[in-house]
Amino acid sequence: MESLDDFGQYVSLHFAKQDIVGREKAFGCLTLTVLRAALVRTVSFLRDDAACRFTQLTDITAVHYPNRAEEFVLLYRLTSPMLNRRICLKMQTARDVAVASLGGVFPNAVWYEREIREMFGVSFENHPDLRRLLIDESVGGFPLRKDFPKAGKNKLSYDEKTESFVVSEKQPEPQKNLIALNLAGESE
Amino acid sequence: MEMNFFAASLEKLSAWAQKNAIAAMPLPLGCCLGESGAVQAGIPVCYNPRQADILVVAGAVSFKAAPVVRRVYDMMPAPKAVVSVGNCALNGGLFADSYAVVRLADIVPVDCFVKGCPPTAADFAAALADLKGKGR
Repeated sequence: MESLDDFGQYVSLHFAKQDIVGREKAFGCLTLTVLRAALVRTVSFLRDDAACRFTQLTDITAVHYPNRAEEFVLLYRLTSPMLNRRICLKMQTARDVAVASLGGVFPNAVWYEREIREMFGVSFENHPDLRRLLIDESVGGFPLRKDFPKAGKNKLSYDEKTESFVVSEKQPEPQKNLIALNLAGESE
Repeated sequence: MEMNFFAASLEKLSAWAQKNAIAAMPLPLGCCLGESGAVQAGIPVCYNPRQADILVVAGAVSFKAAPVVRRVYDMMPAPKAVVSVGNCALNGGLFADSYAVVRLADIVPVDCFVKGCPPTAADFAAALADLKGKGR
């Protein structure tokens, strides 16, 4: 099982054809595209199988593709310290679908999922604690979505009379086209 | 008889003492406070808001830090002033228009702004002199 192709085939053999949709190689790393329903099974297999031993969940990230029907792609990066190998799992998901949490397989997945929840608004099933991880609840919206306004949605201020914080909606400011401004400056 | 006493009204005396013994509470939310050399400006630093006269806020104030800044300000005793150090605390600076950054002036009343990225120790000293000039 030295080559990535052999290894990819080995993993695919343990699952039904529709579970692992795609297989690609890039930069010496294998990427499997997994069906949503098969995710937890695949990750458990990769962790426990004697020929895989991906015992470390390095990262979970997400990408937003606003024009797709299933908008989000979640990327799971696993490392096998024993066999010196890495693997990446890709999974498509939609805005209003809850993804199964990996917290039962890798405890550290809980925080990665919280971060994805706060930044992309992807929801997770069987998750112990879905509060925002880093940014404040009053920020509002999901900053890493492509349709999120650059300057944010909410404004925070302190009201001296009521002695409390006030969250108000930010008025969108007209965006200046900096490239156009520069070009106009050069032609003069 | 030795003249080792003097008479003054208590108000004037305490005002004089406060004006000449300022303790600043630094609240470093960013890199400015270290870079600007506030320590070289020669003010006594006090990490207890209950005993501080000036709140020195440096760096961008995020949504999450805003309640902390306000709470520290509320804890300080009555004649108090806020100095905002650097562009970040002034209007967000490098992080202006970020979705998670607020202006310091929206959270607490600011008496003195020190601009710069980072400001020099001289700027900071001038701001302190300006505060003293205002009489507080």
